Amino acid sequence: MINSESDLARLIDQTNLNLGATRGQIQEFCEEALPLGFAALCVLPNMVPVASRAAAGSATVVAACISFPLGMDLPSTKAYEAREAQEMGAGEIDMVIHTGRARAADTSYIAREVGTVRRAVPSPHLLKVIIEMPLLSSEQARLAALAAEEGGADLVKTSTGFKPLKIRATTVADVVLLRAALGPRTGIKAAGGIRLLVEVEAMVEAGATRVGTSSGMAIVEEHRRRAG
Amino acid sequence: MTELSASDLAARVDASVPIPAATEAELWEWFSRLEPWRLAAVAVEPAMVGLASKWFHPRGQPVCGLIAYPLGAMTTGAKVVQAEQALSDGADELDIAMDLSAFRSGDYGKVVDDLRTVRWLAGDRTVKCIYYSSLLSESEGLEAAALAVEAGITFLKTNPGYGNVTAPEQVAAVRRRFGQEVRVMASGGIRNRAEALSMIASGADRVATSSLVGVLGG
Repeated sequence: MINSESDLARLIDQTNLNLGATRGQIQEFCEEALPLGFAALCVLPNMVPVASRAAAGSATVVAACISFPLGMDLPSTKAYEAREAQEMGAGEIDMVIHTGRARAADTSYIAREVGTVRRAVPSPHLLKVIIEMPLLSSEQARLAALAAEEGGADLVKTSTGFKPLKIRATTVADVVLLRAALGPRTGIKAAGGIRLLVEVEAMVEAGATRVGTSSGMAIVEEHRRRAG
Repeated sequence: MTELSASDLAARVDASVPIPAATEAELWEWFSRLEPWRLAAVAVEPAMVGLASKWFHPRGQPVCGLIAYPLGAMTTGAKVVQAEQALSDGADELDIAMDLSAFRSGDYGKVVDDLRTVRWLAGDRTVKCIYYSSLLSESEGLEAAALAVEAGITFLKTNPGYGNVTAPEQVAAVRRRFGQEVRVMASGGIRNRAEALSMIASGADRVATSSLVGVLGG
């Protein structure tokens, strides 16, 4: 399925969401990642201008993480952040839903909040919707994924991978669940604790169309060694 | 200090919700368990401020909205939108997280802009600045705190929690540097009464915790 290094890189959102990363560090992160042809560079909103300048003219787009990592903002705030990130150069938005509403199976709220952000950043801007599956039951996750799809998500993303939440890593089972629930036109982004090439391959095999990781460089390197 | 009564200690505590991704039903249940206490504030994320205000305002309990929490990595504009929403939904106080990336990048203008704008929006309400004491050296921490003071925020909150544990020495350091010019809230890793008291003994005016029963007793 993943035949070449460029196939691999095109599946990966190379990610740096480090608290307190300097502009210089983000600049360096982008410069090192850009030649590899990743799908996106995933950063926090205050780093979007730095990443956008670095990525200008390349095939790699910048993805901004909105209402990250807790998702505890009103839809109007999320829409503001998404629109602003887009104006600053982000081509993709990774937004976190109100996970408490997902735990309460409040699907109409989730469809509405995703719809609000969708209208703020219409296609072809890609909208990825994070449903924090480690905090949800299977049924809550399934309902949240469907609500995100109804609201206009292009991809449903398994987790923030935010370490201080002390949540489990994303699993192949998460991706399988989403693949079974979602329509064929909705993509899946697996994220949270993915560090190895075999993990990327397993996620893609299960139906992931993107993989989010802060280890993209090492994973591509691993692929080179294997191709060796 | 050990003689501080539970209710005197409660008056110095900002409580935060201990349930990750709480549902509305879980929030009402947790709110109702705070009934015996009059706390300094109950701190909640922006989407919960309206709900918390509805419950706590009739009971005379102040509500604090957490802005740019916990990463501080938002634009000035987004922090303003969040703060306006929290204030219009009833927040009596705001805690705003500093842009640590801007600070470490030497862009003190962005750091101060965020803080000054939100300070101004909040009018005469209490605003605290989270300055990530545990992620900075002592001298950097004092420099970050000085930027908050420069922006007009004279209530310093050491950390956002989420794994950033505050040491009593960090509280003592800002207290030494700024004297009575500032108030200090120790936040991060405070789980019981002894830890809360040691922060107060080191100069903290308030402590933040999501372990209310641990700090105040059941």
